[in-house]
Amino acid sequence: MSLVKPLIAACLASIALVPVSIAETTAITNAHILTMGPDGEIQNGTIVFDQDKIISIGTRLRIPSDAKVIDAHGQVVMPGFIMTGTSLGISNLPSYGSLDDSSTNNPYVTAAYDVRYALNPDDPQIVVAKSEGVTGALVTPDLWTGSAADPRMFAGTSTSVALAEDEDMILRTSAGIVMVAGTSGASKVGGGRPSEIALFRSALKEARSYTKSRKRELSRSATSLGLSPLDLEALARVADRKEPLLVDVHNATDILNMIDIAKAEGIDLVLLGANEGWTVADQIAAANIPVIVDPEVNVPGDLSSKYTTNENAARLIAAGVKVGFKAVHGRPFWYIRSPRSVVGRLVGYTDLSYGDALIALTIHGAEIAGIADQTGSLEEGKRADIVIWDGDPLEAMSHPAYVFINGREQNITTRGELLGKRYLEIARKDGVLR
Amino acid sequence: MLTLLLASAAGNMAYAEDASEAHPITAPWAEDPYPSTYKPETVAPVAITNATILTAAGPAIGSGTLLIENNKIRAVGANIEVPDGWQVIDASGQWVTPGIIDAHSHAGTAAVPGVEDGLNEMTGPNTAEMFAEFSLWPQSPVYPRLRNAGVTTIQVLPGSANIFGGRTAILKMVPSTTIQGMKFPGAKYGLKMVCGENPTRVYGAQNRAPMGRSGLMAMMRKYFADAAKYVEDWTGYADKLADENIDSDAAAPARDFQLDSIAGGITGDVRINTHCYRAEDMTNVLITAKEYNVKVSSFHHAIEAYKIMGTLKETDTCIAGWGPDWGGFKMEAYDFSSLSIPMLSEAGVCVAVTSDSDETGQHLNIDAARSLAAGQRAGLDVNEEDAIRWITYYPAKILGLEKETGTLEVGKMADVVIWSANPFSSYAHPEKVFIDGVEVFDRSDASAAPLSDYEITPSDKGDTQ
Repeated sequence: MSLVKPLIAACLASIALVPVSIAETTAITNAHILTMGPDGEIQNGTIVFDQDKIISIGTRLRIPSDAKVIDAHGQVVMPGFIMTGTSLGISNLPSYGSLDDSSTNNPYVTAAYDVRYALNPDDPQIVVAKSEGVTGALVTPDLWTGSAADPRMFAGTSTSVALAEDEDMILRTSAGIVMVAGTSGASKVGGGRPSEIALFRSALKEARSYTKSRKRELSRSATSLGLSPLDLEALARVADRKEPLLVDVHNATDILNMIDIAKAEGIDLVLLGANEGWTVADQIAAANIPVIVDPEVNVPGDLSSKYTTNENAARLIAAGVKVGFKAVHGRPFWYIRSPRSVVGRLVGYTDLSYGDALIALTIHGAEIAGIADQTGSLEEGKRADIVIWDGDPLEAMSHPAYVFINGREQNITTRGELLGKRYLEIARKDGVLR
Repeated sequence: MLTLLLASAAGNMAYAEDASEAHPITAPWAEDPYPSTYKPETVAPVAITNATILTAAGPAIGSGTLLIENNKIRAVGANIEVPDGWQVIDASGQWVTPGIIDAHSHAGTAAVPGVEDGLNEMTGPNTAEMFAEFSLWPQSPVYPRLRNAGVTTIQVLPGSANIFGGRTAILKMVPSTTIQGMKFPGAKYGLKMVCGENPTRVYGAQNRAPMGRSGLMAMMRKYFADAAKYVEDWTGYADKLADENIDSDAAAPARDFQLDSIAGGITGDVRINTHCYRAEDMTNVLITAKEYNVKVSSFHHAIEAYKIMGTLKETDTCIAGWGPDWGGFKMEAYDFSSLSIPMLSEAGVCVAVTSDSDETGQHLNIDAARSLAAGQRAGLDVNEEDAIRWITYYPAKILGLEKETGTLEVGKMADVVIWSANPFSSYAHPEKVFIDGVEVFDRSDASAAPLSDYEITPSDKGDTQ
């Protein structure tokens, strides 16, 4: 513990005194590096990076003379976590329509509802996520939850981001079109699962014929499906395998149906949630479909997801499925935090191993978000999205000492901490606190 | 203050001096119309030894012993001899704490099995006459999950659309086919009240009162005044009976189930739990309540409680808050701070970490750990002995049950958890859970963690975690 405190102190000092972004080369020395990539685990390692890429990583490295050097005192240094499936940055205050861009109730914008235009880099929740060691996210739209007079099944188009301040957040646009299937999906299209499946396949058909025809005329059939030209163009990306379909689905039979349809239609799927996924883990693995798991949910929500359990992630991974973690269930729209400590709780409590938990939170999350070529592991040439921890990254009481995104040190003091400290001073002045 | 004239649930006192001639009438607000039928079974005494014990009532005990006999804690400490013939559980390397208490839960209603039960009765801003227990489902799969996670007592509250939401249900997490079989014996009822944005949003959208905070507080004041008058009328009636005699023809005041619940907040027979976020909202409720001697026992969620710590201390008001990062989901929750819980704790305010969620309710220890870590990083004087009180002793106090449960002290109910490790570690999980000394969960014995009826299926695929 004695090593941790100076590290934190140094961190706080740097936040207070140094402007956050200075173009420079940084070297982290004396680090216990979990690269989450081909270099594996490195004891007493060094990592050198600038604001473009990781320059070198290993032991006994030459440190450039102009580099800023940070001694990690043997603590864990690893890539930042990637949260797959979150409304972070697009739902400032979800109770208020005007401030919430996570969904739309406009029936003429469905698949084309692209959250890249909703990102608010100033959302205070982004700093909260960074203070939990998250550096990247797959930001997904939500299907409108209000009363839906108009049937719809697509929430919109996702974007993968880095939680960077003072630079473009977007790492990849068109990172997946979100569709809600199963019980919820059926209820959004007038009831009955077969109805949604027929509508979905019709929509793909319309998208294909629309983009292939030279005239690009909207057919009556497409209009009746509530699909605009932009929706059809968005869906064509799914039909052409340029973008995956992220399907929010939980029931085992619904999952198998979606796998069959994906095969028949030749499209790429990612399962979002899949609470009963473990019961058909072998089929999901055989189809090579990744799953974004909620690490907290373990209560059967209704009769169609009766086998919901905290063992889902462990059992999917054991079957060979690639798993990422989403923001936790307790508050899907507004409880925006890293799933880190909830994932940590699964280690030991369920069959999830420590290593698999970290892989899901980093490189597999990045692969699912379509940004593994840029981040998700510490490798030469990749972005320097790096966290220095003050303890075990999955322990509830640990905290990042430093967070770097693309080589730039980030502010991780949250708005809540600033407010707390303001009232701490007042309480001390008033004698309420010593 | 009225206990001399009207029987209260606490004392059941007669108004006449000579008990044989007494015709005690129970004050309507003190009635318990649906009493608990739960009685713990009798089990053999048990000793838990070699554990690190967080009692929530003092310093941690290293390598301590806890003795449980007749459903109660018989002894706790470092140098305690185990009586002959007792069953001994060697908890070397493990930690022992009081059972977790969640003062803000909705477990057993609404979400399962995908059927809304209407515990949020959004049909009018005053449903104080409603009892939450009638919306609860004893076969909810949430209950065994909470029990297996070390939760031994919860308070289930009505939803937050109404200024006066209704009576809460205080339950022990014991298996039962009825809700009465889970109710905490002798617990006073809570009343859920709500200020701020929820009632104004729900009713404002219907072009009804309250449309704004001023309308809301005016309505709250009106019902407080009505309740004060109601107490006065019933007290006058009891006086008359006492002054005259058995054959008094004094007419009883009209019974009003809504006012029963609110009047109990004046007499101390009902504990008022108010959902409130902002500093000025909480202050406004306190000054409005003071006018009619209504006691607000606790504010729930209370995002900005850290801004009015002095007021909360002076008025002896508890806070049922959240872990460090709940907030930001609506305007009145915008100023959430990870420092709120530890600041309130250091200031000596009664403060609990609660869940408001079926899933989060299974890991309040982790949420408390995260609040503790945030406080320590900010240099606050808080430690594990404080943090355990946020999820045991203080929530018991919010329920008015701190003399019965919430700490490991001699004579209290033996609501106990044996953890695999320090409960503030991500990797800790309950090994054994006791409610009133009865083992209700044993990690090494799956049959001790039965599925709810709902989960019984021919396919045998269910898990209780």
